[in-house]
Amino acid sequence: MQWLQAFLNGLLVGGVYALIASGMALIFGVMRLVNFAHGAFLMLGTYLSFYGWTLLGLNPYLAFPLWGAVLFAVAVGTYWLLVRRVMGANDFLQILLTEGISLALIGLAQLVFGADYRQINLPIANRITSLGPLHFSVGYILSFAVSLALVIALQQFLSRTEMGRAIRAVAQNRTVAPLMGIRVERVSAITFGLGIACAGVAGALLLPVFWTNPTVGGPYTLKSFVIVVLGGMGSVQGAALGGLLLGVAEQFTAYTWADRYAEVVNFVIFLAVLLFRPQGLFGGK
Amino acid sequence: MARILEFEKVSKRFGGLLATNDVSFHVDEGEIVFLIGPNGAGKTTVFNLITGYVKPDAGTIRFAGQDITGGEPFTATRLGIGRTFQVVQPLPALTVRENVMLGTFLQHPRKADAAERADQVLEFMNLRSRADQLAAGLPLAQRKLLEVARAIGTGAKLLLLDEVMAGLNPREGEEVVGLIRRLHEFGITSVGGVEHIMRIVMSLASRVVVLDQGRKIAEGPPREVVHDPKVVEAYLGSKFVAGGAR
Amino acid sequence: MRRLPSWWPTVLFFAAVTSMPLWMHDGYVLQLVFRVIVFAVLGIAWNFVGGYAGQLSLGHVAYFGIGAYAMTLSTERIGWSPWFGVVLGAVLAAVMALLIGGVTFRLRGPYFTLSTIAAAEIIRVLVQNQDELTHGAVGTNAPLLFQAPDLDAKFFYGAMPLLGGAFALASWIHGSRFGYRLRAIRENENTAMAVGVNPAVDKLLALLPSAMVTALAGSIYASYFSFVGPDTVLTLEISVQAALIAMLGGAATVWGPILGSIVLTLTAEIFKTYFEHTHLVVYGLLLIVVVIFLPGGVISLFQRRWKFRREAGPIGAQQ
Repeated sequence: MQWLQAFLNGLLVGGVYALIASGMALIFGVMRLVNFAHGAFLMLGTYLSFYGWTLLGLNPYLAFPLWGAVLFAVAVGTYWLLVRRVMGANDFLQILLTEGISLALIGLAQLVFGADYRQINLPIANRITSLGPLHFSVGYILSFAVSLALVIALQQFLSRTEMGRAIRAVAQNRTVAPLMGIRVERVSAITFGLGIACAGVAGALLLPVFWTNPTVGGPYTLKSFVIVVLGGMGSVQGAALGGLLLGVAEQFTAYTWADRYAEVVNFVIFLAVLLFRPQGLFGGK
Repeated sequence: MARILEFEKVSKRFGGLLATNDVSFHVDEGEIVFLIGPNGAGKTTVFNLITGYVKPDAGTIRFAGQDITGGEPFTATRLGIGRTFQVVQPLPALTVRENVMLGTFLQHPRKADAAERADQVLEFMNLRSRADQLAAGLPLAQRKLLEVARAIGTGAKLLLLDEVMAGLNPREGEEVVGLIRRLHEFGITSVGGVEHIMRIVMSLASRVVVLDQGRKIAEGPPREVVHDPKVVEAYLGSKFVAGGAR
Repeated sequence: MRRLPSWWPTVLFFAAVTSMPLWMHDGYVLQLVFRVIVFAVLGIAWNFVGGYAGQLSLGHVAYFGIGAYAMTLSTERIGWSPWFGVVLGAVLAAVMALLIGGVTFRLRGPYFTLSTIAAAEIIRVLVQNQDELTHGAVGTNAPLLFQAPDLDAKFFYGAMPLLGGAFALASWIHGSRFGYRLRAIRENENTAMAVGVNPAVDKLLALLPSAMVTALAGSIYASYFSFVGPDTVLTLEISVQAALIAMLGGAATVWGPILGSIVLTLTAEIFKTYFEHTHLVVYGLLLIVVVIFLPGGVISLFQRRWKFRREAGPIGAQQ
């Protein structure tokens, strides 16, 4: 029964991971950009959510679209200012640039928000609901539900809308896409915005059940990479499934071994996948 | 005349595609052998199999009598097989001379000797004047020449040229043809080539091997092969076969 | 091929710096310069793998930490002189390098970088959680390599040979056949193989001295500050610093990391004095500036002025 609890807890948290990783998969799949700043933007999302609640009384579970929009705008701005200069450059420079953005954002957060841990007290998130012998935090359920809805919405957007098709076209073939009338730069900017918005919204949703401080994002960047690799590079669906999988793997590790080793599971899975099944669990080529 | 390259019953599959299907051919010392065939025939794959960038699923490859099947590319180079790539791959942040030195280091471990030898090769390839320029700044024709120079520098006995003429104008092409005829000055006894430009093939090749969809369909002196109906069909489709092709 | 600097300026520079404790009596300045030296060593070591061979490792802190911990724990457990621990650290780092390199070098580009981060993080988490063996997250005091009095001066004199040795090694690599092979690997592994280079072997050959020198830097750093802990000698930040220093100064050059360390350490120090808690922002902005405006590093400014032919363009040219 404990296993079932761990499994379900894993799915719940995995849903949020799926959202974060979907954003990363989108950015990597379309722009071939290794975004080391993903976690830092997630961190920004948590702070938006925090101040939104403490200063304006905005419930994260309702205000998340607003935070998503803000981060979308910030991301597009970042793209135009910085990121587009390294599109097509080798990944050395891309990694260093995004890492630089990450450090700068974390540093700014430390200066502006302070380095302390922050938490919010959202009554609905703290409630526990029971299903027989199983107990779940309502907050986690809400975060999971919203994340999953967004992941599905993202996939629908990609498959059904014109912009979504354009995005997928660029992901498939960046050089040919302009010949079909697609403005690749614009698609890249929007993709970056969407991907970052996913991370930011995930952060906003995590805050009620977690805490935050300026460095909270780091592990999530790595986690997203692990998931994206697990799901098959650039595959948004793969990333979603990978997120759920990783969530469960972490909970199982925490349950059988120790909480603190759950982190290591990330890296071990990562190395194992890269070495033994580099196309990912669900990847094709 | 010794057999410098033996490519025997080699097959290679990529997923669902049989890129190389039981292909056999050889190159004797002193020969210039060209692989020709329509696009997608698997010509570059053959080069990749010989030089070890791709490992065969079946068959044997021997170089100067030594079994090199499934070996690594650097081993092939050290044994004496030089190659160029269809899409030119220079070392962009190094100078032209340094690019060639990477090759000449194999036979001349001392830097000064390697540089001197590199200059000799550059002289031969008419690139001496650009020796100190960064490879990244070269126009396409010179980059192709640099690619060949680098391969020559390794002290190869067999040089594999993958579509070296592509992208060159006729005058540049003639220059390269002249250089290929003089390769023996650098100890290169034999040449293998992949080529689409028939004029070049006809004037250089001692023998031609024709591939189509991974299989060898013809082999022989260029003039004969070009009239072989199977070859015409492969290139132009069956309606051109009967009644004499050009 | 960029000539090595003619002897005089180099000798003068090293003599001037080594003699600092004799004429500079401000402890604060000596400490600052000490840190510049140690981080220059770190940058030079990273450069073997990152600059010359072009493999962007962000996991070098693993070796730094191994040096620090080996020195500390062996002194504590075995009771020998900490110098023995320093040597042990370098040896262990070499072993670790073979292990980590053997796994990570199979990957290329961002996958490689991520795997180096993963490897270093695994080590950090393990160290952090093995309370009995490593003192866990709290850390412990590191032994002093020298005896009081005049510790600042003595550490200084200890660090300079390390810098000198690293510099000499870098100079040798820069002009040698091996150095060319590394550059070829950096530019294009397939082409490198076509000229007889075995990338797997050469990458490991570059990583071995890189890891060992990094471990030595870690040992002396930990000893100077008398402390080891996962949050001081095993952080991702140190790995980033190593890469940043080399790139900021000029990767694949001998003087680059020294310039980079001077610029980075001094800049961070200035900011720290006038604006607290800004070092991350400084690192971040410096990284951004370097990538966008100075991909060849600070040294590229001098190269153009002195008309040295550019040794290398931006790290691995455009694709």
